Order: sequence, then structure tokens, then C-alpha cells
Amino acid sequence: MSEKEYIRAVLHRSRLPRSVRRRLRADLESDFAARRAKGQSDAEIIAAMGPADQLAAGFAEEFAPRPRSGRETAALAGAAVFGVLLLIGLVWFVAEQLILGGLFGGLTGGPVGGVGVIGGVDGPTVVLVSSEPALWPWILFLLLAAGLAVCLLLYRRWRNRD
Amino acid sequence: MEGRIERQLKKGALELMVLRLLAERPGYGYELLTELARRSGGYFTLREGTLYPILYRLEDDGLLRSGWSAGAGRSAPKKTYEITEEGRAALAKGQALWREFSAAVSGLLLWEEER
Repeated sequence: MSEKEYIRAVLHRSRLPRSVRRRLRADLESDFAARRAKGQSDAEIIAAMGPADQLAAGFAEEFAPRPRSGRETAALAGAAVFGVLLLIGLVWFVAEQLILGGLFGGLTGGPVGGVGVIGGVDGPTVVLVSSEPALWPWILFLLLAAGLAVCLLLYRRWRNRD
Repeated sequence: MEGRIERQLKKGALELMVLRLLAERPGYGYELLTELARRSGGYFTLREGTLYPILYRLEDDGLLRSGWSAGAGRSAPKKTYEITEEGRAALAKGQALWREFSAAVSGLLLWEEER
């Protein structure tokens, strides 16, 4: 097993947070270099450091993420619900606009409010279709987005608290 | 039972020992492992999996800081650790605590032998 393979195996088995993985990779590479400078081969170094899963186990005990608390799970579940509703709304809007041709008025709301004709019958005609914009889809979108953001912020805040 | 007690005793002492070594001069991982083994007469022969969690814990508590030292000649740079002022203060407190602790424990554990 080479140095790279060994370090990769240790990091993979330890399931550490990214910041700890960076530190451990740097330290292990530094140790390999120091031991090589003392004349050790890669095989000897790996034998001295111990099996990858044993080395990883020492870190898992210290740095494994703690189990989620009830409120953290609730915040994540809330974020998932808001996220799914937002996604459904987005898919509905795209489908309704592109496939159904705005049958249900999309984000512009309900039926056409009025039709204007500019230009004469013998010239270019521009038909303006006007409608009253509906606010409720935007309000709903903002509420769902706010709900998602609050849930994620709460989860992060509670998770980072020891 | 002996294994468990020995592990607990070692665990309690290792952080102070690492701080003590780094108080003398900055060092890198492999160097600390060899120094610990040498100065303990081979009693503390650790592996990286034991040493680095201790170093990271001390660093997260602000008692150590890490950096890179340029390798001498053609040798690769090494990640080194050095003690901070907070680390020196913690070491001093730890040493005082150790004297008190070891005196109290020795007094009780070795009481029958001294009689």
C-alpha cells in the first residue's frame, strides 16, 4: 500500500468533519516525510502507524459528530418540508407555463384583464394582453423560502452549540 | 481491569506531557512520538492515532498553534506545533495539579507499604 492509499483509507474510514480531515492529511503526510528522512520505507511507516482502521478509530472516538438532538431533527424535517413545497411550486410553475400554456394564469393570476389593439387594420397590429398580476403566488414563495431559511439557520445554530 | 485503569491514567497524563515537551521547543508529530518514548523509558510508545487527537484538542482549546517549518536542505516541510501563552499557563496549572494529585493518590495507594 502506498502513502496515498494509506492516507485515503484512514480518512475514508474515520468519517471525520472536513476541517479535521484536512489537518489529519497534512499531519500524516508530514509524518511520512519525517520518517522517510530517517530512512524508513513506506511499508515500515505504515506498519509503525498501524492499520488504517485502527488509526481511524482513534479519531472517530474523539471527533465523530454527536447524534442529532430532537430539535435538530425537527429543524431538518421542517427544512425538508419547505424545500419540497418550494420545489413542487417551481415544477408546477414551469410545467404550467411551458406545457399547459399558462392555462391557469401562472404567476400573472387569473383571466386576462383586457385587450388593447394598436395600429390600424392595414398596418402592423400589436395586441397587448393585460392582466392583473396576482400577489399570492409570490407571497407564498417568499413564505416558503423564509421557512426554509429559518429552519436551516436554526439547525446550524443548534448543531454548532456544544 | 488493569488495562482500563492504565488507559485512564495515561489518558489523563498525556496532554500535560505533550504540553511539557512543546514548552521546551516546537515539534512535529513523529518527533513528539519519539521523544515521548525516549523520555518515558519506552513506557509511552504511542501511535499517530493516539497523539493527533490530543494535539487537535489542545489546538482547538488555544493551548497550541500549528504551522509549517521549512525543511532543512532537501527535506520536505513539516507541520509543527508550538505552545501558546495560554498553553504555558495551562501547563503550569497542570503541573501543580499533578503534584497535588500524585501526592494524594500515592499517600493512599502506598499507605500499607509504608507502614
